[in-house]
Amino acid sequence: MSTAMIGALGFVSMFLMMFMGLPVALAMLLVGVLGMGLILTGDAAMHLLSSAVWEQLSAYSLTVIPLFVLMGQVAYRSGVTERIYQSAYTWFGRTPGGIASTTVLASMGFSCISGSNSATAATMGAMAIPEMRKYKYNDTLSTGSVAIGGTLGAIIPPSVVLIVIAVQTEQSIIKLFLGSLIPGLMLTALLVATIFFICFRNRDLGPAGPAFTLKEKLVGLKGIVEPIAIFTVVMSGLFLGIFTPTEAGAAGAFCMVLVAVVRKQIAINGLIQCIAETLRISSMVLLLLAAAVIFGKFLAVTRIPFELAEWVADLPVSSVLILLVILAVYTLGGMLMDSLGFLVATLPIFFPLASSLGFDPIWFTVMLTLVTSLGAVTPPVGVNVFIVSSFVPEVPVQRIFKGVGVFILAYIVCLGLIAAFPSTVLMLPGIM
Amino acid sequence: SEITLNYAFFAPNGTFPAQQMNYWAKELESRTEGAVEVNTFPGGTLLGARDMYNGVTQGIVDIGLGSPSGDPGRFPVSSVMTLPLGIPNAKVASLAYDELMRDLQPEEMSKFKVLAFFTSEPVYIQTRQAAGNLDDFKSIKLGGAGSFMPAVSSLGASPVAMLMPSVTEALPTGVIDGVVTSREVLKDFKLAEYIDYVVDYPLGVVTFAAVMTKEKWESLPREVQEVMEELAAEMPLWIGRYHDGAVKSALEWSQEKHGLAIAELEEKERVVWGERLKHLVENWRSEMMSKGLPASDILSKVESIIEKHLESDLN
Amino acid sequence: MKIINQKLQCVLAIVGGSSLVAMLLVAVSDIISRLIGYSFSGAYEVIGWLSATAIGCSLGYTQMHKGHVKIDFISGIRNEVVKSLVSFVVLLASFYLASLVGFQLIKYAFLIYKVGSLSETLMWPVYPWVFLLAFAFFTFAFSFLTELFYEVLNMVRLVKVKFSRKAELNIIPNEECGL
Ligand code: NA
Ligand code: NA
Repeated sequence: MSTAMIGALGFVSMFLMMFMGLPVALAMLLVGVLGMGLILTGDAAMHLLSSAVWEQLSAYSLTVIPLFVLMGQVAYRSGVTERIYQSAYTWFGRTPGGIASTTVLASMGFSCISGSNSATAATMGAMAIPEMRKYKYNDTLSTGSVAIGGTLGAIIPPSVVLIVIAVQTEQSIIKLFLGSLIPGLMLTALLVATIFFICFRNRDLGPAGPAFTLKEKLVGLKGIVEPIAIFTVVMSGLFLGIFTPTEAGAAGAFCMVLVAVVRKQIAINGLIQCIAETLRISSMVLLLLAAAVIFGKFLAVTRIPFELAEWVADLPVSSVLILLVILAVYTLGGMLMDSLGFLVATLPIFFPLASSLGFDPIWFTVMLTLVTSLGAVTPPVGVNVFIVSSFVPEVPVQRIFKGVGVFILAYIVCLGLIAAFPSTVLMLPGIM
Repeated sequence: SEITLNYAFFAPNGTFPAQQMNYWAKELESRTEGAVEVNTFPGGTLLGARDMYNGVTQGIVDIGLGSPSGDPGRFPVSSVMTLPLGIPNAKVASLAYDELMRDLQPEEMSKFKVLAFFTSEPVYIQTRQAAGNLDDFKSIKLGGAGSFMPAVSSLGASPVAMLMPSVTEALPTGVIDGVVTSREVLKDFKLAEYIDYVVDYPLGVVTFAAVMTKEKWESLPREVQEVMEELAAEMPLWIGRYHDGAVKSALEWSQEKHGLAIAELEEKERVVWGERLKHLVENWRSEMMSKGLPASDILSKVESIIEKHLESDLN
Repeated sequence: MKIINQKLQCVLAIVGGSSLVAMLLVAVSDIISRLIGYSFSGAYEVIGWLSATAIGCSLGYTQMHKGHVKIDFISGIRNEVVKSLVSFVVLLASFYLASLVGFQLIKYAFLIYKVGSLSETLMWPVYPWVFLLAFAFFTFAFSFLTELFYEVLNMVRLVKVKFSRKAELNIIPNEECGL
């Protein structure tokens, strides 16, 4: 059996095992080790298993993940998120679909301190859904806007997805954070525009909320001074080079805890909850990454990535077409399974391919991040949709998927804009 | 072809040790008239810097190119090359390291058949701001391989041990004020955009060794072994010349395009540097003696070998 | 068995949580000391080792909370027997893999101990941390073993149901520890 054949079989059996319900990380680990054992020797595969697990779990570059996750957790438990939401509400609640827009904008605000889309969706869902029900919002709109707003968590920096790609492809985390900032804001604007448009045409979908006086609006701003200050300290420290990404995460989490404790917004029990939740999320992500590294090494010995890149580069079709195919594959992958899992499993194939076609790595990463985030809201496996549905068990899941559907267009427009104007991504990293 | 060999290296394809790997692979293929095929895995796709030699003994690849000076606990004799011994360039250093290891046959390489010994050029202190005298050093942070951090401390600067990919991230942002590394990085990693000064004082060198296990070596046909022996003898000179040439053009490019300045030390200052760095050699000696190695013999041996190659280099 | 597993995972989670806090403190004190002009160059290494400990020790805890990403296809299976068989195979594979990693990590720790590898900056031996991670993977395996045990009980029950058709189908409750 040729090594390429083993590689192809490996891919198929990995997906089979995933669908049997084996945790995604363990499926990658198992196939990686078995495949390597077949191509090299059993001993070689066993050694690589242990050394790769150790190297990944102890890698300094990955220690950034638990620290940023902790920062988001503390923000959530100390009520920072709620204050962001309340403030956005006083400013935007009045427009048609105003509370839905508020949800998206508050998601954007929370994304600035949270790195994951599921955390953002869970946080916003708890607050926004009861509010929208109070004002008789259509369930399709309210659930859809929470689910889609959550995806901003992975696009606007800090973002676990960006960190994962940066580490796997040896790019600068800082440059990727800068590169995705403008696209994240563009996407937010497009989502809000979509809500405004559909609610303007059908007022019953999302009636306007109550008006607030300017004084109330300004008082509300007071509540978000701290998160803005922390975000500014963390991000500017990162971009000015006072800290490494890990230290930025540590500084952010530390300031967040400090403020919450000093202002008595969190009890010791709450802190323990934050740590427990952080451990759960981080161990899930890092096990996934360690497994992906082993699977990636297996793919490297099959030489499939190298050969595929050579083969595709010689195809008599334009590189734009190939890019579209790659994006379509990621969209499909994101539909079928957890999109972060799919991303880490396939990056070793597609990233070298994109580089060999001459696409800028930062630009390509941002495109991939958008498509990957979309995977969190597409059927049948849409993590954010499931999270939202846990708040409203009586709303059928299909209805939430439908609610998300209207926003897909905003995503496509955003991708199109980035493709047409690469400077939206490349401008900020270029300044550095 | 009859034989396929997998060859791994930890750093990206553009770096100079990878050039050695690619040249070696190409020469082996052509000199054996296609009887051997070499698959290369650069950039840590299979094995990283820390795991290279374990990966070879465990059979993950047939050949691994690693850096012994990165693991002084495991390769104590090789670590002598990281001391400031007054080596001027990669050619002299590579020839000297090769000869030292082949003469001494130290325990640390006993499991391996070494296919190439070579080194980088000496590392230099390269900074954003002029740092000509030691007073300037008190306030700066220098990044680089862990093996050169003792030298950085001796000169009074703050050491930050990091690998090259982190350096390219830390330098533009100011986490560090300069680096301690060989100078081709000015062009290869575009560091000249941030580095304005190179202090003209050579420190130690980074060592490299491409190895396969003895068992794998025994399994190869006689003709292939002969070609590999032939290449092993040629490698130090070939890569030394290649690397020195690359450094020269990187310096010229940096001076022309980015106004790089090469800061000469005054004679008085040079003496002070020598004094400060002398204790590194003494530390190394006592550390190796405590491990039961004939440290003084190794030192005098390496010094005489360097002397010899220095002379032939000048002629 | 469930109680033993819960106690074990909670103790480990406490170790993991302490490592997380320690790594936060090391990073923050490193920033502060650097701002006042002093640098501890080993901070990167220490943070990496603490992170490995934090993550390793919480693997089993995460599994107890069903936190590892998987595709929930099994719950769609109607046939109880097929469902139970599939979960049995999946749990067995997971148990095998987690213990395999633990076992290999022990071998790896011995290897780097034997060749005398030291960390690059601090020149400290790394193998104790690897042993710790190996131990963490064994406890991860133990959490699968616990689930496996209950899956077998469930299978026995299913077989009994099949023959007696009297016993009721009820799902074993999933208790959690205080954290
Ligand atoms: Na974010
Ligand atoms: Na999906």
